[in-house]
Amino acid sequence: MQLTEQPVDLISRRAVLIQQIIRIRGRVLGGYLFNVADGLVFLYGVIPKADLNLRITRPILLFNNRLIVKQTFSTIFLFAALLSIPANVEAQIGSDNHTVTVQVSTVTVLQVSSGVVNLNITGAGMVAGQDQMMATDQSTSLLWGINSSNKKITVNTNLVNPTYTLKILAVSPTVGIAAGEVTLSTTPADFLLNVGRSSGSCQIRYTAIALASQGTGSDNHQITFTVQTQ
Amino acid sequence: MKKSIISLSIAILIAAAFQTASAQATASQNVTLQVNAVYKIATSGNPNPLTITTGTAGSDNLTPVTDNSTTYSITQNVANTVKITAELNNALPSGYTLELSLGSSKGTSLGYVDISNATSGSAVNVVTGIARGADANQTVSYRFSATASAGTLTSTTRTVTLTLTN
Repeated sequence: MQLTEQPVDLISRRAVLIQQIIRIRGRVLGGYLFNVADGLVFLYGVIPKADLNLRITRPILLFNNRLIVKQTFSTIFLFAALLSIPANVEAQIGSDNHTVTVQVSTVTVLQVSSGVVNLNITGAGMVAGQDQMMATDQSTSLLWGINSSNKKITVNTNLVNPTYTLKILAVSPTVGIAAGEVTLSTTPADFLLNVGRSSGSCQIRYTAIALASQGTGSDNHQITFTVQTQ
Repeated sequence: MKKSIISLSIAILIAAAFQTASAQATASQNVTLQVNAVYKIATSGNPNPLTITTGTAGSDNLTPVTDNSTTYSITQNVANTVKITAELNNALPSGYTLELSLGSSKGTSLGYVDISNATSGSAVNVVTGIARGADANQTVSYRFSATASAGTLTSTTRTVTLTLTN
C-alpha cells in the first residue's frame, strides 16, 4: 500500500463520486471517494491526522497503483466542478457507462364512460296521489387509476340551487367501498373510499327526485369527481 | 454536513408533499334533469250499487241513496288551476238523477254536481283550482235520486269518467 498526496484535476480525470465515506473504524472521516480514469481519488475535508494514521501512514493512499489523493479544494467547489464536466470530455474516454433512472411519478387518472346523462321524469309508472316522482340512470361508469395510497373519490355539482333533488351512488365498485347514496351539492361529498394504489371502476347511479308541487322544469348539473387524500 | 443532509431531507419532504397535494385528478359529467307535465288520477274501485227502495208517502221524490265507499287520488305538477271534470258514457233517463261530489284538499270541491246528462263533450266540473302536488284518498260520493213518476228502472250501469285537466 502506497500513499501519495498530490493535486488532482478531477475534471480531466472524469471523476465520478462513488461513495461518501463518513466513518473509518468508527471515527468520523468526512471524505469522498471518486473514481477517475486511472484509479481512485479519496478526497477529504476535515480529517483528524490521528484517524488517518490509524489506517494509513500518510494521508495519501495508493491501492494497486490506484491513487488516493488528498485534495484541498473545498467540498462545494469540487461538487460544482464535477457538475460542470462537459459531455465531450466524457466522450474522449475509451469506456463509458451511464445511469438509467426509472422514476414513477404520482399518477392519478379519473374518467367517466360518458359525459352526458339525461334523467327525464315523465310520471310513467308513478301512482296518483304521490307527490314524489323519481327517475334513475345507471348507464355510465367511473374508471380510475391511482398509484398513491390513502385516496378517496369525492363528487359535487356546480349547480348552486337546484330545483330538484339529485342523488348519486357508486354501484358495484371493483375496488374500494361505496360511500353510500348522497344528495349532490356544491360541497364535495364522499363517493368512493379506499381506492389508493388501485385501478378499478364502478357504475354510477343517479336518482332524480321531483315533487309534483315543484312543477315542471329542468336542472343542468355539471358533476365533478375528484381524487382526494382520504 | 449534517446541516446539509437535514436541509436536503427537508427539501425532499417539501417536494414530496407538494407533489402529493398537486396529484389530483377530476372527471366530470353533465347531468340534465327534466320534469315533464304529469297528470295522474285514479280511483280505488267501483261504488256499491245504488238502489232506491223507498220514499215518503205523499212525495213524488223517492228517498235518495248515497255511496261514499270509494276514493280518488291525484298528482299533477302543471299548474295551480287544474280541475276535475266528470262525465257519463250515457245520460240517464229523465226522472233519474245521479250526483257526484269529490272531496279535495288541494282545490275547491263544488259539492254534489248533477252528472245525469254530462256525457262526452259536456263534462261538468266537480273540483276546481287544484294546486300542484298530490291529493290522496279523497272521498268520492254518489247520490242517486228518482221520482215516483219516472217509474222503476231496471238495473243499469254507467261509467263515470273523471278527468284531471288544466
